[in-house]
Amino acid sequence: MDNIRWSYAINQWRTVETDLARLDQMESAFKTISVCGFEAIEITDVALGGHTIPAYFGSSAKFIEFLKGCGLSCVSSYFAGLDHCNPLAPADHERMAGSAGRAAELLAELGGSRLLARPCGPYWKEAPITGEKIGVLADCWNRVGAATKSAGVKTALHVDFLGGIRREDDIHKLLALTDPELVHVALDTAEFVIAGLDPVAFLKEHGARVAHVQFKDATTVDTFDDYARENAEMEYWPMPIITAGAERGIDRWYYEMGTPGGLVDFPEVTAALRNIGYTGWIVVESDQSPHVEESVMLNGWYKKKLLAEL
Amino acid sequence: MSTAESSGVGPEYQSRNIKWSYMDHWTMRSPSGWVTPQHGIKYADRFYRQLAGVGFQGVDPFEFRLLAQAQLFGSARKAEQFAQDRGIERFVNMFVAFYDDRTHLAETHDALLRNFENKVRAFEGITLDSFIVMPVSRYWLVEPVTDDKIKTMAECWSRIGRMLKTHGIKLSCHHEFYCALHSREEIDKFYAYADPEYVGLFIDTAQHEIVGIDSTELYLQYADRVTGFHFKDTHHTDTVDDYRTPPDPERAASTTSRWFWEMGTAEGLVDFPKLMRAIKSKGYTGWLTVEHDKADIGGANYAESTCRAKWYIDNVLSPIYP
Repeated sequence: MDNIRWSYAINQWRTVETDLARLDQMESAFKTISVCGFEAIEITDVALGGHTIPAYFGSSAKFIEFLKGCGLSCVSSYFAGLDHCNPLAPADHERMAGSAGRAAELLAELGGSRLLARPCGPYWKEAPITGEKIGVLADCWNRVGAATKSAGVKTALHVDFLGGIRREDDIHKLLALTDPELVHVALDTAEFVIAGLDPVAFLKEHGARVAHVQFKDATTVDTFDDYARENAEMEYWPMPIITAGAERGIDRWYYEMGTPGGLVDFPEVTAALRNIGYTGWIVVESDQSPHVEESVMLNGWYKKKLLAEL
Repeated sequence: MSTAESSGVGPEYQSRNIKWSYMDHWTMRSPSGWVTPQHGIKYADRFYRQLAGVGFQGVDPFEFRLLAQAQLFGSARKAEQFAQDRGIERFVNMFVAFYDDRTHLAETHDALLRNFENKVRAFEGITLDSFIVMPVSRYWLVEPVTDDKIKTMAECWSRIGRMLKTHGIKLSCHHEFYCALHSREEIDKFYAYADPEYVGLFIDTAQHEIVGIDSTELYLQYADRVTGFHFKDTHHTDTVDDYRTPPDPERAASTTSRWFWEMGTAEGLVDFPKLMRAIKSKGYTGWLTVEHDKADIGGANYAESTCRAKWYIDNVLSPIYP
């Protein structure tokens, strides 16, 4: 597992506007992530992305200095919204490529190498997902991938259970229509499992396209098509609102690794990553955690256990 | 195979001089509100995973918390095994809670001795290094604190300490800033009267700092009698005699609503590097304990405080004396 580095998503420290708004809050979050055994952070537009770092620190170099002072080494990756554009709108593609290129340059300065994006907006808004639409998406992401590649950053599409690209054959079609040198996949274990996808099988079939991995657990598969309901996901700031599952009492889809009843087989996924020779980041996430510090501690414990078993 | 090994999250620093234990004041959120690890097996599971995950090797329970865990798991030994399965080496010291602390009254001593004999029996399935006690009641319940009263307190704990020693347990006195043995003068008198073979000093850095006592100087004076430490910080000293506040100066004093802080805050008053250098200079080896007492006041939380404190240990204290 020497080729794998472990990072932690910082977005769950930024669920309301007063979070991660002061340097002491950042210091506390970074030290917490460090002491739990992670060496980097993954940022998003609202969590240290965009203009945040220059505004707070003046330069990327000064931010990295601050990060290192807290025991972390770099920013592994950036989950970008690309100016809230719609990849299904060809008129937006140029703007998206420009935004991605700027984000990639910032990320490269921060030591990162993976720009993540959703391949398509929410399913409930964009359905039906047709072959023609997938063609438009492919054009978009080929363009974005080219824009980030010039900064040395790979574009990795993050498949999630609420998104338009969530069915296995749609993912296959999108991969077939995109340039494997430019467009990659970010495999998120919980999102795959909730969507009814098998991450291990996917790694066996498409391992060469996987350029980024996110680890979190889930306890429920969306067998009731909650993803398709109106307003299953709503735009909001700083985090989107997920209402999917609310009618049947699901307050939380995502859980810490090692949660009793968790559906992700992390030893199997990790073995599959090793078998395909995966090199790069595993980013652990705490989405929907009611208590982010507890979650990172639990995930840190599980990571140690996982590595010890391997 | 040891239980710590079975979880894969065992101690990483076994060759080191110092092992770090954690005093359990923990609270966490649950669907039914705030709970402690004793409220259910799933909460205990989360608690021990979190501590072992950041590298704590031991746990110091309160007596009442250990009793609840013994009830939950069937025995104190089974409770300890549960912690060991998650990477904790063992329970180290127990902070004793249930006893008549009017030790300045000689007529309480016989019953106190019997009480502590019962405690030994209750926990005989596990190995505990120390029983930690606040050696006397709160100041406002005892004052005036006279030499005779201090001598009576010392007689009490010498007697109980002698009994504990026959069971391999140390008697450790822990001086809260509001207890009737809190000032340097009172502490010096108490240890002059108490039998050095049976009565140990457990230094709590924040409690002493609040009184205005330098923990390092106290340690250097009593190094041979020191049985352990609580590492925690404070942002305030008591300059207005808060220690005399009824009913409970830790919760109701005027200076601050939160006396105790984790190591590593900018406002912290305790000089931990200085203390760590002193501990090294004396060749102390074994357990040191992190304590976060009422860390959840004002919306803060134990998990964050604990991560910050352990970060401080790993990055500041361990480089001084690993």
